[in-house]
Amino acid sequence: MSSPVQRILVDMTRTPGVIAIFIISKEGLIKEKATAGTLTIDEDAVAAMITAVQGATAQLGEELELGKPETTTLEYPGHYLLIHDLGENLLALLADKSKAVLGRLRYELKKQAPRISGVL
Amino acid sequence: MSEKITIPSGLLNVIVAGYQIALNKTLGAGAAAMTQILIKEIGEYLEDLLEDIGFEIHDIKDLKEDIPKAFKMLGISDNVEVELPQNGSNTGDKYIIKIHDSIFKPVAVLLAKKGIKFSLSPESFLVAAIIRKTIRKVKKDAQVKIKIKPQSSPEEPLIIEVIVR
Repeated sequence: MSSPVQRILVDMTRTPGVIAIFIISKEGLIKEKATAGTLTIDEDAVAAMITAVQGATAQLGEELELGKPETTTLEYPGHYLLIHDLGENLLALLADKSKAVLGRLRYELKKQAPRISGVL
Repeated sequence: MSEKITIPSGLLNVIVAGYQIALNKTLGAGAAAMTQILIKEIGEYLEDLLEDIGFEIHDIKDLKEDIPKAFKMLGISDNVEVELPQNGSNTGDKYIIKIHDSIFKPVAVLLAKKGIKFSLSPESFLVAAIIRKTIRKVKKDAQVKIKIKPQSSPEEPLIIEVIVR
């Protein structure tokens, strides 16, 4: 039987365009994940990089006195990568740009973030 | 890479502290993630380094004795305690290593003064390399992760948690 957090993540993978969702600790370790298909990546390296990106984004916000980042959006030729801060963890979502609607992805992240934090 | 030359420990500490400060400035909390990458990238070099000083990393019998021995041989600390995992679990086996009076302690003191968490500890990479090598003799694809317990005072021992999955 899957855990409550796994159920939320699997539900999120049903959002159009979503390829994978990760919950990553701020130490750079993957805690939970759900994928919509096969994904061949070096998870350890990716988790560390996502943590570093979010850390750099937060530091930049502090330096420029912009406050804390809400959702960090990275846009590549064929993909979106969204990172949302959950406090002690990060929620990262990888999506196929041709199938996803950016607004819907952001909406899902903001909607599910408190639910995920509540069951972690 | 491991020719025997003497480098003042103060210089080494300033360099380690400098990198830690720069990473903290640019990555903030994300600096801790660099630890995971570093284990992967420098683990094998550390194994070679240990062999060069006569520490037989291929022939470790008891981590509780051999980890303190490695620290002593490298001149990092004479006082290291190792707690082995009680039982296996699906979240991984946890080893706890307490390092007292490390030669890198001045880095911890300096960083504590600046309010910076010490995440790039050289001691932790060494511990991770030894445990990884030992575990991989029986479990080839074992993954090793490090967590460094935040110190409330630099006078406390450095406490490193090594989680093996």
